Amino acid sequence: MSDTTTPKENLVMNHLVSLSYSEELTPILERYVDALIDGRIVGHKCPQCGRVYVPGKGYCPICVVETTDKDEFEVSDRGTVTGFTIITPVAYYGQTETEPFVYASVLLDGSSGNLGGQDIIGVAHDQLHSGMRVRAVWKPPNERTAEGVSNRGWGSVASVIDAFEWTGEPDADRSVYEEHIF
Amino acid sequence: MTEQAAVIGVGQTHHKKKRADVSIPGLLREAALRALDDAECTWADIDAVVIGKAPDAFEGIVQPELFLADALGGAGKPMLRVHTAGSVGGSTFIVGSHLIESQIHDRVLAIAWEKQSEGNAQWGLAGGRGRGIGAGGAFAPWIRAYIEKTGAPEYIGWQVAVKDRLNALKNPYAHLHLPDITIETVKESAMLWDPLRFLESCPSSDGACAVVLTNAATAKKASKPAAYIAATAVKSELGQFPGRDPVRPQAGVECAHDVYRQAGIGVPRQEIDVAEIYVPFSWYEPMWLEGHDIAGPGEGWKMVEGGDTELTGSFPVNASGGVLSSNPIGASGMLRFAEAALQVRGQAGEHQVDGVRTALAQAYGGAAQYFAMGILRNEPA
Repeated sequence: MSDTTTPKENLVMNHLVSLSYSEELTPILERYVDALIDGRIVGHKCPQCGRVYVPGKGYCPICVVETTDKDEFEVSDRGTVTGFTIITPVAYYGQTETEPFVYASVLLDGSSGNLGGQDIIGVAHDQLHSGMRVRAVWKPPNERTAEGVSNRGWGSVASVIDAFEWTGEPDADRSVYEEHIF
Repeated sequence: MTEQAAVIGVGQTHHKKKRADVSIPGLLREAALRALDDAECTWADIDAVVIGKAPDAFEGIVQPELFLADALGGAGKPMLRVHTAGSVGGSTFIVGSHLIESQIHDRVLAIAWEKQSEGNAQWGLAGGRGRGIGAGGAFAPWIRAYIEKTGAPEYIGWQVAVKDRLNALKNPYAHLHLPDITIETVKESAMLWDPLRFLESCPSSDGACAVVLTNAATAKKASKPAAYIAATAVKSELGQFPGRDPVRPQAGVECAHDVYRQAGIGVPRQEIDVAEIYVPFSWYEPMWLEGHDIAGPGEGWKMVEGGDTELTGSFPVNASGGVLSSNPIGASGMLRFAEAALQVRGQAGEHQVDGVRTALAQAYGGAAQYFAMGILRNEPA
């Protein structure tokens, strides 16, 4: 009880832990990453229902059937914005964003599921809307990496595609993306 | 052979932005002791403790249930941790009720909590990475999809935001007490996650909620009225798959139909007197009214517009002020069940709705992929 004047701000416990994990990608994700670095986006097409998963999962979770390399299916790097928000970032520890940013879902032509969390460029925030046609803005080939792709995620393109850019094409009809909001 | 379960004690903390006056164990004991007191029980009467909270990363304490066993009288007793993201408070209540229904235990303390001021939920949700979007960022695109699909006017969200905060003025435990809130102040508040504005979003709260559960036979002998659990259901689905409808998730539809069937409810809008629904962002009120088939497609926002969900309306929703007024995340789901219990017991105080016989409680979590729902009644089955 000697020092009762210690300000509470001094009682912060710093507990900064850094752990590095290395893991081998599954064979399906290896092929997915190799294709991405090559500038192509590949997934698996379910032989039963025809749904296309990007990246492939090795199975269709809806039909519960296995998918393999022979079910590999290349999708377009063009697609449709199916949903979005514009986020005013909160400055938590580690937040890298300081200005409002776009967080959009893009349904690539040929794919049955979305790429979430994409940036959309070439259009003002207040002009952004669902149905807009966009195309991938690829990083230069020598800057493409496998970073961000892990066996635990849903597949990412952030290490090869910087953003999606408005193509200027007419909007897609709502029926194209209505069942693919997420 | 199962037995009906009932709530005989409800306790909650005063929810605040920062409960600097209590430790985490102290916060939980505040709710637990109020529930025990309400149930006219002591720690010795409790056979098992079921505890729930949202992800450990929110406070940065891994497996907090381990050090909380002591404070919750868990020594020498079964103590179970539940986790289903934002719906965890509801799931914790339901797991506790199962221990009674299966006749494994006679009295169970179910408790859920969050002390958001001791951590950073945005950081926790982002997993330490940049470009974190927060919960609102995940739900905003689906809210936009709901608005686009139904043609709902933008003031519907503002209306829910005002209604829940005015209800909270009648709830002394609520975190936010905003007597001056109006449609105008909501409309003019900062845009956080387009189309969601600051005042259409839930606060970050410290708080806990606890209930004492027992069997119907014991509940009937209690000196205070009990809330009898007529139905419970928990459903989940993948957070992402082609063709998923995140605006009206199938798991939410099936969860609702399951509790309606168990409770013998044919027309929920007419046969439920009051509902406590997990609405962390204003638009989720009409979205769940439709997502749980209380309102028809595109009719949820019309119930809001017409004032049906107000405290004095035909189908009051979140008479307590709801998640929009108090959001100790892990506890938020249990608060829905606790407030539903208070309503059927006639003990909700100033925010009591007259003549409540049947109440609906609901919580959801994750990417709107976990659902926990219950029907509570003022009489045993």
